[in-house]
Amino acid sequence: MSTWDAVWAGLIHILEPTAFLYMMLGIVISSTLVALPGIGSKTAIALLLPLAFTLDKFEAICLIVSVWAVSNTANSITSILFAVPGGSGSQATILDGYPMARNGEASRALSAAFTSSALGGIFGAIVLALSLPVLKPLVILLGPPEFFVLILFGIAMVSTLSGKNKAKGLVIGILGLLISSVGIHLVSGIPRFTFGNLTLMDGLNLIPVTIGLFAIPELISLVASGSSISKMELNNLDSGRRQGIRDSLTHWWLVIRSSLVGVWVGMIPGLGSSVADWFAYGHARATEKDAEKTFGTGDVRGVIAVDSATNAKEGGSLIPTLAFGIPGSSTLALVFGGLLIVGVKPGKEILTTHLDVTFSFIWLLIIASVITSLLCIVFIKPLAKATQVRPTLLVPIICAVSVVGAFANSNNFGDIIVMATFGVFGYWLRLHGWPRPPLLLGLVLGPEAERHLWTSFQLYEWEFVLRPITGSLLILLIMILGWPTIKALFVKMQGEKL
Amino acid sequence: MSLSASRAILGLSLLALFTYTLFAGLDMPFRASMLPVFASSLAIPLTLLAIYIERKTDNQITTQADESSGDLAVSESEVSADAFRRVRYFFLWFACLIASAHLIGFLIGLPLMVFIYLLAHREPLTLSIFLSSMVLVILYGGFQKGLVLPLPEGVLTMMLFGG
Repeated sequence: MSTWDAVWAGLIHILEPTAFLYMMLGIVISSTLVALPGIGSKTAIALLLPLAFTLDKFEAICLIVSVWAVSNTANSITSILFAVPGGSGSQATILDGYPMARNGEASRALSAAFTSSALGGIFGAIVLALSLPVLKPLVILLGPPEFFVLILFGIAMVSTLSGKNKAKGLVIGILGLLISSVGIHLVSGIPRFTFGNLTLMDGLNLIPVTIGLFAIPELISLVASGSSISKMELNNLDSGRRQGIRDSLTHWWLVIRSSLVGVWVGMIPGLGSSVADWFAYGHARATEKDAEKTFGTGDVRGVIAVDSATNAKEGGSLIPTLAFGIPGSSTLALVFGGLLIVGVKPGKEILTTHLDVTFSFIWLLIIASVITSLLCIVFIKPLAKATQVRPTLLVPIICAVSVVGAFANSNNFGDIIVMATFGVFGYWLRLHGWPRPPLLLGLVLGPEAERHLWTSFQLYEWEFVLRPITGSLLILLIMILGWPTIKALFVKMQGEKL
Repeated sequence: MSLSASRAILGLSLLALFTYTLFAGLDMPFRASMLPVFASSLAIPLTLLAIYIERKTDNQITTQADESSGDLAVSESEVSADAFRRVRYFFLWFACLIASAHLIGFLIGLPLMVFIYLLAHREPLTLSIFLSSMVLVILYGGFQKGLVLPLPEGVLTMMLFGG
């Protein structure tokens, strides 16, 4: 089968009525479930996997892939409206999306998020299609030392969002790394920081920590302020919707750059799924005009950058999954499982004899992203009006659902205690201007960081930092962290010359 | 407790935590200790630096308002005495919410606590009943039946009615 034949065959397979219907079902299920805190695309795919046994190959692919492909778009709804991240990839959306909602611009923020998400999804899929021939050498180039430094890079990027006191961001990022080490060390069997507690033996799960760190402090903030999420009159919802779409199109260059960041980060197995949003946000904040002053206060560019990247990264994360059979994220590992159920084995086979399946994936990314974004844009009005609801109605209901969301993660009551503890800690951090996002990043990347640190040490001892790519990345990292100081010195020297 | 005292306690608590993790890490086998020791050794000087910068910034007349902090900013209305009183009540209710889920089960405890919260905030009775029922529908229909999530019965109800 030639490449062009595979392109068309891939499209025709998913446009068949039953397959298309399953794609629509996947879109509706995913959009509904990810709006519940703690219930992400992983839960939805896990629930639908048994269905794959009863479906035709392309029907199953349409159902499973569409659930995964559109979850990032729907994730933005709760992030923007209630500062509750729908999943680990939508945390950075909160930083500017939620303040926009509070300023009465929920409609504009949602519309910009959905449009950017669709554009990012299309961009990611195109990059995936174009990169198929040049995949292997790229990923093989990176070894454990490079992965370890890339993880440090991710944490440092997020810490640069911490305003003048970047040390605070770094400290909290490192705290996240340490929290990730709680539990029984898988290799040595040593319990670390568990204090004999059974819940802690399994380590701290991401979902209860995320709900605790982000949702609970925002609910406390609503209680403290005693007013609805949006204290302002909602601006004209129709014009907000149009404005959001216009914003995404006007900032097309930011969309492309953020999508590229998303694809690039998404390509790195284990790293991309949870950090692409932070990388894109950090990139936009560092490069956009006056972003240092306006980001975090409700700048639509913050929303556009994050949502372009989160959907574009899915195209990137498919690259190692399809080419080498290395799932780019834990959700993709489930998609991978679904593919195996219907007899499709990622790796060499999917790039040769089953190339039509690969292109079905690509078409699904494009079509499902566009349909979801359109559907979400149509329902913006009721979504935006939710920000006007009194906090006395919202707070108890979201709290109750958050408690179940934390529990649903592993059916363990201890996770609710974890959520409550991180809720109080998150409130404390927020009250005193310590950024919470780096903690999550450290927690997500901790196990990978530890594995790569140990492997790098075994292979090269501490000399691993001197390897060419590792060394270059470290120098770049130091430059990024030290850039404001270097810039200030440069400006001072220029001033003295004049 | 004043805000500045709370801020100082937060910084010092982090410092104490990292010192503990460093010493605890040093007692572990090399492989298990690598990340804790590496991370704690970096975190201790960085925490000291963060506290120093924070104190220095506090002493300056300029405020932090000229640059965003990378997290959602705290508004004036959230740090008033009245706001802290509301937050204390919220913490009490939240603790009761978790305790009720544990003692009388998710399906009874959570809707009940939602109902109490709504009534305590002078919401109309019919609306309170409707919203609490909606929570029950979400829990039972959405989570227990739809997602096949076994929501546990409470310890107290198990004792009284034998599950």
